[in-house]
Amino acid sequence: MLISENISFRYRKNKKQTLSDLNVKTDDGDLTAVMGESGSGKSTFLAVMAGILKPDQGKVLFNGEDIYSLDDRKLSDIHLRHISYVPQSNIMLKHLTVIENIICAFKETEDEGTLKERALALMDKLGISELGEKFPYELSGGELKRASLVRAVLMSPDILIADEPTTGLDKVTGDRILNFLREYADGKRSVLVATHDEHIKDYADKIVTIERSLR
Amino acid sequence: MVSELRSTINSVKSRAFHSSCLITATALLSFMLFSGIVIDRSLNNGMKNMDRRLGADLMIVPKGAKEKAENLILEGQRGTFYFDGSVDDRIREVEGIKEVTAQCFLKSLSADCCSSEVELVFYDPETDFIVGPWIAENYSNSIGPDSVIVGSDIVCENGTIKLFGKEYKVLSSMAKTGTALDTSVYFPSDAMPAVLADAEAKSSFLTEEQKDGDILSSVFVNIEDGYDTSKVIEKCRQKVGDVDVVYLKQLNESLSDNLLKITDVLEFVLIAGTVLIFVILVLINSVIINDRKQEIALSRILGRSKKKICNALIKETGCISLFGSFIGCGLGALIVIPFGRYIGMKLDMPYLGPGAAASVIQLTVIMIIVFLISLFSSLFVVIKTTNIEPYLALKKEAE
Amino acid sequence: MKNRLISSLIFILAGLFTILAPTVLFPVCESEMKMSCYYTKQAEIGVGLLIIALGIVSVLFSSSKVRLGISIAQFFNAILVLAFPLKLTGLCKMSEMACRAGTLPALIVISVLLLIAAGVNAGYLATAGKNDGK
Repeated sequence: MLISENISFRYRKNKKQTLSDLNVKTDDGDLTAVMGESGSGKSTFLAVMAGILKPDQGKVLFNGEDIYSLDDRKLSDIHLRHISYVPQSNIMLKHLTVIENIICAFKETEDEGTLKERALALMDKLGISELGEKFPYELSGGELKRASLVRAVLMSPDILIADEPTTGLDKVTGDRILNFLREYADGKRSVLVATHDEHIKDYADKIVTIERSLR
Repeated sequence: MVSELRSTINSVKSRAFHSSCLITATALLSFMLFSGIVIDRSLNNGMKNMDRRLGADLMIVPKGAKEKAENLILEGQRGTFYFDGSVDDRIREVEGIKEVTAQCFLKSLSADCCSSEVELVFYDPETDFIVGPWIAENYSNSIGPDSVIVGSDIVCENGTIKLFGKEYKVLSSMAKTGTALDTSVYFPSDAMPAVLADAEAKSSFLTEEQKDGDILSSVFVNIEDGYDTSKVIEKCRQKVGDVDVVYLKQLNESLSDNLLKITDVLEFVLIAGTVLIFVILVLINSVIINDRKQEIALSRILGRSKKKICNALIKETGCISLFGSFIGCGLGALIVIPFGRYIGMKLDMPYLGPGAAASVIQLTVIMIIVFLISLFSSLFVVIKTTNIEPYLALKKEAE
Repeated sequence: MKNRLISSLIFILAGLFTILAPTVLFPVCESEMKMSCYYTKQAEIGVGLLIIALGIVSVLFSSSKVRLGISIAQFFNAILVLAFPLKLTGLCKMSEMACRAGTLPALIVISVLLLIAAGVNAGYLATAGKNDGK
């Protein structure tokens, strides 16, 4: 369960208030969709919830503890095992194969063979099992998005946060990803998704709409 | 451990261009430091050795031979200058003289052993205080007419050396001086008539003076404490006629001044070069880290702590600096060590290269220094980058 | 192709320097008499020409096996570059003679660099050939 309490955030550069007093709660088993027009701060909100952008005010509580009050080591541990984030852009290391990209961050914590096995099973589920040995530049946008998703769920985090997971993808691939996210939430975990995609309404338990701040 | 090393190397290899820029810069730095320090040390060693060699206060030589005598001391180039064989005894009688020993040089005598010239020095083992201290180990005072002492660079086979058709037993080798003195052969003065006769028999060209045999080239003098040097010299001149005097201490000082000038310039170049390369390394590292912001942000999102990321980056720096300094020091050693004598000759300074152990120590120290310099050049940007909020780093990349 | 050009260029340069070192850059001792270093100089000119010739041949052949053979030959040529002054023909005995102070160090540098270049290139071609399954 992840709870945001009175979150406010303002970008230093343009001084524009992006988030003000946001209170959102995600429950286990829920897929929560965050919607709103472009520039309303959906992505910023997700980043704050994911623990990768410190808010100016407010708290993000995971298991009752404000994640921004934790030291670097504890926060890293939360990112490793509990809260996972899929960024909007598909970032992979160019010199590693797709499977290497998926498992490389976790090699220190788990055995490589087990990781590979788990990764292949997940890739199979998302229809990219044959791409493991390819390099990122050989993959399409949709394939990369799915590989990023596999990387994010490899350690079975309690909370999965995905920024625009279906943007720019065809409907079949989009649905496949949404199905996957739904299934993931059904396994007693919470999923938080920011999207423009109206299809999400068919999958989400809860919709949070963020309005563009006028200040 | 192995897989960690492999991933570090892979990461270095994946940024081939940047890595090769860094490797080139660190190689250049190591080359400069290694060769600079070797030259600096060798000049200082040469000087120290020179100090040991100048075991006398004064060197008295025939009138007009002062310049040649100074050359002999500085560069080890022997000249031929003579006065008659009784000079040393007469000087010994002068009041205020503590020790006197004489040497006689024969230059330009070609010998059977070598395809070039060997320089012969005759010295008096009884009174000697000049040759003895240079001699490396295993020296017994019992140098006979059939035995010689050779300079460190004379190549002798089976402990003997053949000169003018006659074999001589090599009693000992001199310690290396880094000058042409290393190519001299030292005889006891008793052997002089026999050697000259052999030389003449082998139709070597000898001057009339040399044929005469009763000659000396220079007399080394130590003055008793409490006596005024100039007065003692005056008395010597009264006794033996007009002679030139080389003040070895002064010569030593002027040489030290020269050395200081050279090493000052060398050290300035080393420091300036190091600073310059440090700045270049900082610039390359900033460019690299800027390119890697996204990767670093991703690592943090995936649960690697700042400390772990810093460690990984430090390992990469270590890998690069190790490789770079290996190339640089290797190239430095390859060029500076064999060319040591050449450098000394060009600088007109005594030059004594480092031994193997000293070189290895130097290599290790330089590798550590280069690693630390590389580390500091990247530390600032690494820390700055790992402190950026991951989301902002990702976003900046996306924009 | 890139490897072929670079390695051949290195070989040709090494050969050129093998010739230039004892003749122009760090000439051996000058003397009316023909001393041992004179013969070393002559020998180095020969080895240098051989190294250049093999360098040129290796540009002309794309077959990696031929170039592997040439690299191995250059490796031994590098040893030969040093074998002349050190063993086969020799140099003057005294260390301050031009041939010992200048020519020998220069030949050491050239020989070691050629040794490394030929060794690395041979290793590279051998492993590349293996990976290609040839």
